[in-house]
Amino acid sequence: MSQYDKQLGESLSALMDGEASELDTRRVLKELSAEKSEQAELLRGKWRRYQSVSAVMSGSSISNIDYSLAISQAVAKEDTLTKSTQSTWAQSSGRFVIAASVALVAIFGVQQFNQPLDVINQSSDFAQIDEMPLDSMMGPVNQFPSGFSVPMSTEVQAVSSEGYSEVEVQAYLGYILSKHASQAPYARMQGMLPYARIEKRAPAAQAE
Amino acid sequence: MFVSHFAISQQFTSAYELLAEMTNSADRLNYSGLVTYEKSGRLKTLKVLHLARDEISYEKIVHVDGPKGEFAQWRHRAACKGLNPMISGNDLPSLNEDSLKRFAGSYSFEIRGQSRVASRIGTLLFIKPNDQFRLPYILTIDQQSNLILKSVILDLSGKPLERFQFIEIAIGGDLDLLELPASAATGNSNSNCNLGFIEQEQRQWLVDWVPPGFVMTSSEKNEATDHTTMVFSDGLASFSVFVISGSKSSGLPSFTSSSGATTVVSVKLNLDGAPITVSVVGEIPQATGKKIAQSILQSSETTKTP
Repeated sequence: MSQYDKQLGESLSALMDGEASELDTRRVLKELSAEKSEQAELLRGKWRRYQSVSAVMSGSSISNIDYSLAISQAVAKEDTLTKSTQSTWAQSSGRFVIAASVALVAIFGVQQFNQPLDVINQSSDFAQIDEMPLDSMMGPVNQFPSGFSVPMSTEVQAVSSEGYSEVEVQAYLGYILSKHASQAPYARMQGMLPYARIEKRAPAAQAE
Repeated sequence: MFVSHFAISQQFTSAYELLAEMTNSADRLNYSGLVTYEKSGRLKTLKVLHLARDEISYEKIVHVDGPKGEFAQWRHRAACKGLNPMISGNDLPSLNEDSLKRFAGSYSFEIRGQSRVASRIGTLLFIKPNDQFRLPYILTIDQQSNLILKSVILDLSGKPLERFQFIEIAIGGDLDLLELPASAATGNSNSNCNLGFIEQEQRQWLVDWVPPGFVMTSSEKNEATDHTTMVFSDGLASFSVFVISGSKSSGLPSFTSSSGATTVVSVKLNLDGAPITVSVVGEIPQATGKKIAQSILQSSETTKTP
C-alpha cells in the first residue's frame, strides 16, 4: 500500500468518524472524481463496508439500497451519453457532480450518526435488518435472477469481485450479534441485562 | 499500603458470594421494570419482565422507544444448571473450588460502599481484570434482593463503554401471583442449555488460544449451513466464536468493529488451502478477540500430534 493510499484510507476513516478535516474531505472527493476509477470504486466499497458494519454495530438502521452501484451505473450511463457531444471538461464535470453526491450521501450518513437521539429515532424508519435464516443469506453472492441482465460497467465488476454484498454482511453481523446476546446469558450472571444489547427485531409476523 | 493475603481472600470470598447470590436472584426472582441501556452516546429504554415458576422461566424484553421490538423466551432452568460456573446443581449457590480458583485468577474484587439506583440501596462492587484480556466492571447489587441494578463495563483505560441501569423495578409482590402468559409456550424456547461443559477436542474446530480462565459452555453445528458456534465464559465475560467453512465463507469480508462493550472481529483464514471465516463476538477487548480468532485450528490436525 502506497503512502497515498494509506492517507486516503485514513481520510475515509476520519470522514466515517465525523472527524474529517477539510483536507480529508477534499482528498476523498478528489479521488472519487478521478478519471482512473478503480481507486474510486475501491473507496466506495470501503466506505460501504465501514458504513454498514458501523450501522449494525451501533444498532442504527440504514438503507439496504446499494447507492454506490446505482451511482456507478449512472456514471457509466452518463459517460456514453456525453461522449460524442460533450467536451472532455463537461464529461469530467458531470462525473464530478455525481461522484460528489456519493460523498454527500457519505457525509450525511456521518451527520446522522452524530445527531441527537430524537433525530436518530426519526431516521430509523429506514429498512430494518430482519432476522434471516442462514440458508437464505449464505447463498452465492451478487446473484441475479435468471433472465435479468444488469448492465455492468467495469467499475461495478470491480466491486463484485470483492465477493460479498452489503445486505449479506449486514444480515450476518445482525445474526452473530443477536445470537451472541441471546446465548450468552446462560454463561454469565447478569440475568436479563445482556438481552438489552439485542437490537430491535420484531418477530417476522409483526414486522409487516 | 500493605494488605495481608488473608484480607484479600476475605474480600474475594465475600465478593464472590455476593456475585453467586446475584446470579441466583436473577434466575429465581420475579421482577419487572424499566432499564436504560447506554452506549456510544445513544440511550435506549426497555421494559423487562422475568417470571420464574418451578423450573421454568419466562423472560420478555420490550423496546419502549425507537422502532417497536420485543424479545421473549421460555427457559427450562434445570437444563441450564452447570452451564454457569456460578450456579451449582443445588438451590443455594455453592462455592465450587475449581470455579473459585479460576475466577480468583482472572479478576480482583473490591466492595466500595453503597450506591442508590432505582430508589433502592445497592452494594457497589468493582471488578478489575488481572490481565489485559478482559474488561473491568462496576456493578451495583440490590442489598435486599441481590438483583443487579446497574452494570457499567469499562475499557482498559477506565473509560465507560456501556451502562445498563434499572430506573424502576418491582420485585416479587403481585408478580409472584401472576400467571405465566399462555402464549409464551409458543414463543422461543432455548433448549441449548443441556450441553454442560464441552470438551473442545470432540469438535471439528479447536480454539487454540482463549484467555486463561475461559471455558467452553456451549457448542453447536448446523450441518446444513456448515456453520459452527461456540460460546466461552470466564464466569463473568463471555464471547461467541462463529466458524463458517467452505464456499460459504467467501461471501464475508474481514473486519473489526466495536459498539458499547461488544467487539466483533471477523477474519478470513486459510487452513490447508480451505478458506474459513472466523468471527469472534464478545464483551472483550479487540486485541483479545483478534488473538482468539487467529488461533482457530482444525481439530483433526491437533489430535494427530501426540
